[in-house]
Amino acid sequence: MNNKILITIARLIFPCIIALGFYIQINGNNAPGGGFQAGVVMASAFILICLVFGSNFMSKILTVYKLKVFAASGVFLYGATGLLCMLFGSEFLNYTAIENSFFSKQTLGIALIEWGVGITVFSVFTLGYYMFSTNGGKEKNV
Amino acid sequence: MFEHFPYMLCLFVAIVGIYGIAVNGNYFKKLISLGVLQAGVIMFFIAIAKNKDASAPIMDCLSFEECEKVVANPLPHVLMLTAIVVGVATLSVGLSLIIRIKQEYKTVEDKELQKE
Amino acid sequence: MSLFIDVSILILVALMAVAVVNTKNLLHVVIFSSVFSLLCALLYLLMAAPDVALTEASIGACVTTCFLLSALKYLKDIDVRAKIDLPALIVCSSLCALLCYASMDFHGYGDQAAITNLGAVDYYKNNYGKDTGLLSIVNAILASYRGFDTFGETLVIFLAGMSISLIFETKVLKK
Repeated sequence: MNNKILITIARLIFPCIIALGFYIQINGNNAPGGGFQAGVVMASAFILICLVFGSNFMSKILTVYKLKVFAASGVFLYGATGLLCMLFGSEFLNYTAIENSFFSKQTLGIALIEWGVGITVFSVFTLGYYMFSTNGGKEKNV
Repeated sequence: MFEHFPYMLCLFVAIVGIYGIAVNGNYFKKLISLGVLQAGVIMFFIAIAKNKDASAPIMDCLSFEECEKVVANPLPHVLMLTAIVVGVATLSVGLSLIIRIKQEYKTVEDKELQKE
Repeated sequence: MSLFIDVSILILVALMAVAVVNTKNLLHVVIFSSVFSLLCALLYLLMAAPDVALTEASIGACVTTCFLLSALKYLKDIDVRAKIDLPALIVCSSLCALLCYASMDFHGYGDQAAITNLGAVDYYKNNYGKDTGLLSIVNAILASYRGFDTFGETLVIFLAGMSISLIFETKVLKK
């Protein structure tokens, strides 16, 4: 019976945590924040889902394969930004090469790499908690 | 001498972590003591970086001469951000190794594992 | 005044560290380590480091505690014998005394004429707006001036995630 309270509160709080994670990620330029903190906050939202609704439900939303691909794509985004700067004629990770009128001095490159870091940190911590709580995906319904 | 008290206490926390790694036989407690050691070292670096009556290294305008703001030293903060995240990555890999050791050898005590 | 507040919270943190190392019950150790991380986050906020405080609070108090608690259910025995080892105590306390004597050579706590305020930090403080266009010096250093280190750190986190997944998904070959 006390499961109903947990399920109701988790349903209310989960979008708030995701919104806070987005806020911390986007406001990394002018406030404390950035990729690492936002990734951990968003991972904690999905750890809450895994705790309250069970890992069976969690593995239907985000399978292990999708989390691994997500983690790799974060690192790939970081490296691709560096290579993009090389395509525009500068060194690796020199963001002044991709400066344009909408994004002032180096903010486009910094925004891209912070998203890469945030995506990687989020998927690694969610994957880690899922592995710990289900013994590698073998004992679901925990 | 009283001005150096914060440094001494941070190093004391680090030494308590080293003592915990050396003395405890259980691998789980060794790993948590490693976390205490990391926290002590990170505290020491952040204590070095503080300036008196200084605020966080987040400025209000784009050049240092326009808005004069006394700011803490930002370089140790950056290095410690990296250190905290790498510390938790190491802790998680260590924990998964401990779980596998427990499943294979049925124990995580130091003395019993040396007999194997 | 700020020295007094910082030293009192540091004394609390030191007591929590001693409690983490010397407790017998493993569940109590996990809860003490979570409180220890929370006190550390408060300390970083008092020392004017909000980025580090946010990271430590979310990682130390939230994610580490979740990992430790979910790993604790595999280790069935939760009462660990504790003993006091006299040679280790002597060595560690002499090491502590040496380090405390060496730390008296540093600048005083909060001194603005410290030598660590010169060098590369001077360049970062004078040129962060011209080069990057960011208001936060910490993120400017992390993402732009030391961007290569952050790339390596992201790789380390990715490798840790893949290692956990590989360690848990090993199939035992039946002979």
